[in-house]
Amino acid sequence: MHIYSKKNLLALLILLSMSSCEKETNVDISKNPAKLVVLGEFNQEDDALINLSTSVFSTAKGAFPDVEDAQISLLDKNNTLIEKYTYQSKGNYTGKKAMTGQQYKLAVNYNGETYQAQTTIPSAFNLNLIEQDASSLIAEIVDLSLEINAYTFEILAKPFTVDRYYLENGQKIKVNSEAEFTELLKIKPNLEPKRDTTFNTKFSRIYIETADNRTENVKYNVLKDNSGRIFLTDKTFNGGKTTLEIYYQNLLSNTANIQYVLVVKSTDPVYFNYLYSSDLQAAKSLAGITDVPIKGNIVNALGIWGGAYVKKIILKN
Amino acid sequence: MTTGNKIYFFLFLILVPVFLNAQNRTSLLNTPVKLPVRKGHISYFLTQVEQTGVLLTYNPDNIRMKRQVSLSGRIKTVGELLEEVLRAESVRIKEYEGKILLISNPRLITISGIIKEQGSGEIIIGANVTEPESHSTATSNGFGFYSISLEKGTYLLNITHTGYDPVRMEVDLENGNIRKDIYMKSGLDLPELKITKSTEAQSNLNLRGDHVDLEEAGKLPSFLGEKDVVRAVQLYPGVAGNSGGSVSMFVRGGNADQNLVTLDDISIYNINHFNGMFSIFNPDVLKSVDFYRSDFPSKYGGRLSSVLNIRSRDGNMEKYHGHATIGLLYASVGLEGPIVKEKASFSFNMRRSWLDLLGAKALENAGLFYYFSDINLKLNYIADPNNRFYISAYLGSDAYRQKTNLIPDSTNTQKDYRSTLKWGNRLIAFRWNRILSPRLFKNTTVTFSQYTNSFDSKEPLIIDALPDKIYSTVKDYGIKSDFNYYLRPDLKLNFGGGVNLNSFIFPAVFTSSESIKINTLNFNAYVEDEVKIGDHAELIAGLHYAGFKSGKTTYHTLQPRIRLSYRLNENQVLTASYSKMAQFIHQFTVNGFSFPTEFRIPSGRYIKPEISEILNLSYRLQAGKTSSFTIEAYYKEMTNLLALGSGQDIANGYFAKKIEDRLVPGKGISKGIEFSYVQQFNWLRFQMAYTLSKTTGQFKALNLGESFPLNQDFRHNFNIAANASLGKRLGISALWTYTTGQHITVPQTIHKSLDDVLGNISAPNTYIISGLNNYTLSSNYKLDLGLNLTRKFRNGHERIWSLGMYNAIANPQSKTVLTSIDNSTTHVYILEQDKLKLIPYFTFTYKF
Repeated sequence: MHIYSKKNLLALLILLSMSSCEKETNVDISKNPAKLVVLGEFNQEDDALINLSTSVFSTAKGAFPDVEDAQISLLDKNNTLIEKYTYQSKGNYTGKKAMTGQQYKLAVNYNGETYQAQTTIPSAFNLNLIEQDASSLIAEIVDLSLEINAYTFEILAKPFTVDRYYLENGQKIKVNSEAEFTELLKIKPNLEPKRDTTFNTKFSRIYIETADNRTENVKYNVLKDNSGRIFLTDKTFNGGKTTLEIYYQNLLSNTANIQYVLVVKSTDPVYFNYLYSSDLQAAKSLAGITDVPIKGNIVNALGIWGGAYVKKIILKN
Repeated sequence: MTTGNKIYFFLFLILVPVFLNAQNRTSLLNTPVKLPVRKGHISYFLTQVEQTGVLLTYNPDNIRMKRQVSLSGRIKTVGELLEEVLRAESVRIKEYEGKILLISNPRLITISGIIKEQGSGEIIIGANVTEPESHSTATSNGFGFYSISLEKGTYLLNITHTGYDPVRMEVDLENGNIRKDIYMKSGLDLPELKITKSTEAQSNLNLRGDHVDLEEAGKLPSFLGEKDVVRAVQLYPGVAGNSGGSVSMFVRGGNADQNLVTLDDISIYNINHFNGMFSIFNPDVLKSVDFYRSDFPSKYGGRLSSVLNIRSRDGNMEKYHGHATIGLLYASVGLEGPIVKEKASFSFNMRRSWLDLLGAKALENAGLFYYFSDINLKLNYIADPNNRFYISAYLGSDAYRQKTNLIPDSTNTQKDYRSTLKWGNRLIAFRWNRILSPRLFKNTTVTFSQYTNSFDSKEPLIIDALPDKIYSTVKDYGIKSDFNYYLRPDLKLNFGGGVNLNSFIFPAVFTSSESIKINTLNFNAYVEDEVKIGDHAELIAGLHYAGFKSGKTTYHTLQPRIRLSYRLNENQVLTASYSKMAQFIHQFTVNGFSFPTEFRIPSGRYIKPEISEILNLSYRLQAGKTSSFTIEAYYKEMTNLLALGSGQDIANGYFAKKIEDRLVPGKGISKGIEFSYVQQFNWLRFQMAYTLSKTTGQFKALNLGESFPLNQDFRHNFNIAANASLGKRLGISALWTYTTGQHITVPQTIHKSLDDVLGNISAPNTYIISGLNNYTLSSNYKLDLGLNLTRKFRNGHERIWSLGMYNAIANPQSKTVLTSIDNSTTHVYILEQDKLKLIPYFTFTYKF
C-alpha cells in the first residue's frame, strides 16, 4: 500500500474511533435571588472595615451592587453594644480596632432583617524574622497560648510613591529624585530634604512556598504550585514557638517603589477554613472545576466576618 | 436494627435448619436420666433409657448396638442421651403415643459425575439434574460436578441447561453409589429444541445472581464491533456506566472499584483496554459469566457492590478448532484442541490492535499512538476420573505514546522527546479439582495476579518537573480451597477458605520517583448451607469471615449472607436476602487511560474497611415458557466509604503525600427498585431493564458535612435490547439506553471576594455552591444498531460479517466536564468534552 493511502486510511480510522464532540451549556445564575454579602476582617492591628454588597454581578453597574443603607452594630459576647459602624463609601463601613482575646458579635440591619455573626480574636503571639535573603525567609512564631490556633502567612507587595521636596518660605519645592537632592545639598547645605510617602490602598499578594510538612499546603498539596497563602495549624507547637521557612521568587530586590510586608495572622477557626476554601476554590477554578464549597459565619447571608490577631514585619532589601 | 439484634437475627436464621431437623422435645424425651458410667456400648445406654421407664421401640439390626460411645457433654435427659449416642447412626428419634421410636432413615444412593458438552468435552456449569417425582434437583458447580442422592429405586432424571438439548437418563439405584458423567449436545443449531432460561428457571427455584447469556450478548451491537461481556452486564438492572461508552460498572450506587472481577478465580485489578472502551476479556475465551449484585454467595468477599465471576474455556478434548477475526481496532486468533484426546486439552487466544502497525511515527506525532495486546492460554489435564488439573494464564498490555516537540535553544539541543504510558495485567492460576467422594468436591486454586502501570517521560533535563519514570504495581499471591458437600438431598454445604498476600507500590508524589510500598495479608473462610424447607421454601444461610493485616493493624470481619426464597406456585418466586460485605483494598483510579498516580490503598491504621449491608427483595414471574419478569427492591448502606478529599486530583498530580491525607471517610446509602423483562421467541429475543434509584453520600470533610448525591447516582436507568434472526443467515440487533445525566457541581451565585475588600488587586470573585453534585446534566441516551451475516459451511466452518452503527442516535456521557463562570454575563459555562459520536463498525470472523 502506498504510504499516502496508508495515512489516509489511518486518518479515517482514527477519526472514526476517536471522534468525539463537545456540548456547551450555559446556566444563567443571575436570576437567582440576590443575597446580602458581608465581608470583613476584624483584628487588633487595623481599623475595622466591613463591606456590604449583594451577590450576583450586575452588568449594569459593572460590579456587585454596594449596600449603603444598612446599620452595623458591634456587640460584645453579652450582646452589649460597643459601637455602631460608620458608613464611608462603596459599601464600606468602619469602626474601631479589635481587642485581643475578646469574643464579638456583629449585627447588620438591612431591609428590615437582622443578620448576625460572631467571632473571636485569638490570643497574642510574637512574630520574629530570624533570617531573610533574596529567595527565602525564616519566620518565628512565639505563641504561649494553649489554644489551638490557626495561622496564615502571606507576603504583601504594596506599591508606594515618594514625593521629595524641601520647604522654602513655607512653600513645597518639588525635587524629582534623590540624586537631585544630593546635588542641591552641595549648593545649599542648609536645605532640609523632606519626603511624602503615599501607599497605594491596594496590594498584591506574592506567591510563596514552603516545604514544611506541617502546613496544609504541603500536607494536602492541592493549592497548586504557588499559593498566595501558607496555612498552618499549630498542633505541633501549642504553647511554644516554632519557625517556618518560606520561599519566594527573587522579588524583594525591587523595593524602590514596593514595600514587602510579611503578614502572619492567627485566625478564628471558621475564618481559617474560609480562607483555605477561598484559595482552594481559586486554584481549582483555574482547571475548570467549580466544586469547592465555602462556609462563612453570617447567619442567613453570605460572606465572612473573620477574627484575627495580626502581626506584620516589613521586609527590607 | 442494632448490631446485637442483627447477630441474634442471623443466628436465628442460620440455625433454622437445625431447628427444622430437631425433633419435638416433649415429656418423654425430657425424662431425667442418671448415668453411673459415661462410656459403653450403644446397647448399654439404650438399656439405661429403658430403666427410666421410657418405652423404646427400634430395630436392633439398624443400629450398631455394640459400637463404643463416650459421652462428651453433660447429659440430663433421655432426649439428650439418645441424641448423643445415636448421632452417628442413621436413625430419627420420634415420640409417638407414649413411646419413643427410633426410626431408620432410608438408605440414600448417590449418583454423581461431571456434566460435559458432547463433542468437545467442555464442562457445563449450572446444568440442572432433576428428579421430577421427588422434586430433587442438583446443579452442576463451577467445574461441572453434580451430585444427587436418592432412595433405592429406578428413576428418570432430566438434565437441562440453556442452549443444550435436554437429556433424559434412566438410572437404577439398587446397590452402591454411581459415578456417571453426562454429555449434553449443544442445541445452538436446533432452535426448536433450545432450552431457554425461562423454562430452566421453572425447575430451579434458587437462581442466585445472573448467568450472562454469552450467545445473546455476542449478537448485540458494540463499540467498533468488538464484543465485550461487560457491556452485556451493563444491561442488567442496577448497573450503570454504559452511557459514556466505557466498560465501567457502577452497581447499585457502588463505585467502580467496588466490583470483584475474577477470571478463573484470579482477582483482576484493572479491566481496561483502550481508554476504558474495552475490557480485557476476549469474548472468544469465555465459557461462563456469573454476575451477582445481591444474594452474594458466602465464598465471595473483598468488594462491596458486585461480583463478576468469569470462567474461560478449557479447550476442546476431541477436535481442533480455531477462529480468526479482524475488526476496525484489532485482530484476534484462537486455537483449541486436544493434547491427549479426552485426557488433556489446550485453548490459546490472542488479540492485538493493528493501527500502530500502519504508521507508528505518524501516530506518535499526532499523540494518537496506541496499541494493546492480550494472550489467554489454558491447559487442562484429566489425571483420572476424580482428579483434574488446570493452568490458566493471561498476559495483557496497553501502551500509549506521544511525541512532544521542543524548540531548541542555547540550553537545549534536543528537538523532541517521547512519553510512554503502559499498563497491563499478568494473571496465572493453577487449579486442582478433586472428587473426594460422590458427595464431596474440592477445588484448590493457587493464583498470581499482577497489575503494573508506568509512565516513562524520557524528557530532556531542561524540563525537570517529572522523574524519568514513575510506576505503580499491585501483586496478589493467593491460595484457596473450596468444598461442595452434598450432605442430603435437602441440604448442601459449601465451605472453604484461603489466604492472599498483596503487595502495593505506587508513587508518593507526582514529581519524584519516591514510592510507597505496602504489604498486606488477607485470610478468609466461609461456610454456607443450602436447605430445602418443605416443598416451597429454600434457605441459604452462610457466614464469610475475612481477616486483613496491614502493618501492625489487623481487622476481623464476620459477614452473614442469608437468602430465603419461597415458591408461590410453579411460576412465581419470592426472595428475600441480606448480605454484608467488607472491602479492604480501595482503588482510586483515573478513568480511561490508567496512570501510575492512580493508587490502591489497603485498609490499615488510618483507613478502616469499607462495609456494606444490602437488603434485597425480589419477585420473579415465569410467564409461560418464553418470558420472565423480575422486580427487585434493595436498600444498601455503606460505611467507612472512602472518597478523595477536597481538591485531591490524582489525574493531574495534585494529591497529598500521605495516603490518609488524600482520603476522607464517610457513609453512603443507595436504594432502588429494579424491573427486568425478557421475552424469548425462537426468532426474537427482547430484553428490557429499568432501575429507579437514589444514591447519596455523607462525608464529614466534604460538602460541609452535608449529604449529597454521589457521582454514581443515576435516578433513571433504562435499556432495551433486541436480537432478531431473519432466516438462517441474517440477524439484526438494536440496543437503546437511557440514563439520567451525570451530576456536576455548579455555582448558584457569585459575590465579591474578601480579598477584594482587604485590598488585593487581583482577587477572583467568590462563588457559592448549594452542595456537591447540585446540577444534573441532560440525560444520556444512545441507540446502537447491528447486523450479523453468518454463513455455515458443510465442513463445519463458519463465516461471520458484523456491521453496525454505534451511537446511531446519541447524547452520550462525556469523559471530561469543565465549568467556568463568565462574570460579564453571570452565566456558568459548562463544557462537556469527549462525547463519542456516531461510529460505524465492521468485523469479519472465520471459524474452523
